[in-house]
Amino acid sequence: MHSDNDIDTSIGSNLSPRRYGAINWVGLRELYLKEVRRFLKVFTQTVAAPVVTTLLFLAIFSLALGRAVTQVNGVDFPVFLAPGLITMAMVQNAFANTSSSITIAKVQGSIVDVLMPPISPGEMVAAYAMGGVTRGLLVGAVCWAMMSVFVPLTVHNIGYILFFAVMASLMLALMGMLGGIWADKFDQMAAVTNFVITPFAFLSGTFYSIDRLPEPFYTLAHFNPFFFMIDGFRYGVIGRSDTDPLVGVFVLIGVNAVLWAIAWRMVKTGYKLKA
Amino acid sequence: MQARPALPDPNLHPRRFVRPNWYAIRAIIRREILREILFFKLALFGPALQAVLFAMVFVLAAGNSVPVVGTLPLLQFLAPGLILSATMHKAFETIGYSFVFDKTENIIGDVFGAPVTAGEVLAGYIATASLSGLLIGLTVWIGLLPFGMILPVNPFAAAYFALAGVIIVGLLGLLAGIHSIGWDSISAKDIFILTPLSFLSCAFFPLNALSEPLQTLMMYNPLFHLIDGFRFAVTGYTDGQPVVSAAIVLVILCVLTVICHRVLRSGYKIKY
Repeated sequence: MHSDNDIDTSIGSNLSPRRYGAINWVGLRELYLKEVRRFLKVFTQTVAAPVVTTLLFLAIFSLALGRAVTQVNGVDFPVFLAPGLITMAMVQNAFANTSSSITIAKVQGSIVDVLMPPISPGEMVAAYAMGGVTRGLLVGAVCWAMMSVFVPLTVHNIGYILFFAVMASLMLALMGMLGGIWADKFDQMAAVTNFVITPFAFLSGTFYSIDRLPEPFYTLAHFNPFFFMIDGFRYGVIGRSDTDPLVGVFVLIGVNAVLWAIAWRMVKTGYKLKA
Repeated sequence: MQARPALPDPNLHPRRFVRPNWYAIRAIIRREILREILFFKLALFGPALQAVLFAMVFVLAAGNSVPVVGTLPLLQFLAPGLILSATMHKAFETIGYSFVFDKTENIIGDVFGAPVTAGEVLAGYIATASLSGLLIGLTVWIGLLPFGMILPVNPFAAAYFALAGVIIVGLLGLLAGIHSIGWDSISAKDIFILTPLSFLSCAFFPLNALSEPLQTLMMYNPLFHLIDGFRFAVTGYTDGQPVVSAAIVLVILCVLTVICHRVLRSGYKIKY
């Protein structure tokens, strides 16, 4: 605020471009805040709605399978289900935030407001991705709070919970960026959500232990990063997992590094962003 | 090269028609269906995929202990619920979101400025909701065929409950669309009212999975009667009394039709 006042008083005498160092912190912060305000403005759609849907999933799966499936991996079925559902809600919303933000901006033409300012590709990717992560974490936290009314949720290892919550949200936020940059219209974005993200979120161990999978799929599951993030987050909550959560840590770091590089490259070259 | 169209009749006069204005009703249906197809394209198969995912997840989560509900294997119990809830949700979306779109874009006058009565508008939208809902229901049905979905035991009853379902929920969509000012408020009605009603309507679990006060409460959920009736028609299994359900459904349908007609005629939140 001080610098603004300075400019006001000295206007006309020595106008000069605002200077900043290697990172344009002001630009980064403003773009991030814009992303956060964008979803908070319609928080019934972006936070409350996914929480309600997740609670309904918990209700119907517990009611439909409660008698047949009593225990999974040594815990009660709802206790097993809850962390999976929380992860699913987090990642779906992280994806929805970045993808819808970029697609809407492209369709409406307001993307120039982001492309014109002196923001580097790295700063742009960081701001969008952090916006998606913020929404994912907020949805996850509210889901956790609401679910703990019905299901006894424990914290086995807070480190793993936070790591996987952040990295899983980041992964899908970056995927949302790629999808949003690639898609020209809303129906393409809806197709990606429907035919790629939802199936992966549903079939990667949210609702069952992957021991249940028949053979080719059991092995294939170990090449699915969605499986590692759900399994790792669940380990942080209930203390049991299908694989070593440490493997998941490295998988997610690797996948996120690759996704970040791709997103950075897309923004840098202006693929489908700049004419 | 097309032949040049004939010049219009110099004695221009208004087109004459007798009520009902079939031309207008057809135009409304055509416009709405085309809009669905052009906007959603591939995403029209989303509900079918969603239902298939639900079915797969239930099978995998149940594992070897495949539960039997009443006399039915779990999936045969689930399939009618999955089909009808997807069908009804599509009917709601088709009408509700179309109204909100027309209102936010200020093109609602295209419908209400035309020489149509409230009854004709209502007929057009009901037909649209039925058509799009039932077509989506068909895709879900086909998607669930590999999971043991069967052809209805009683096709007439199935048609009755399916049609009543799309019309009732379509009319709810119409009321929601008229009442909502923006996307935010229609999607809130969708998520916070319709989705809970449909998820908690015995679409996914038998009535006896609930404890007592909830079982009685379920009888007040109109979607329970629709889904239980439809399930009875398809599989022969019921948690309630299908004949009573059929009657309740008919009463709700008539009342809603009258309400919607009055609302449309009054121009509430549309003409001002």
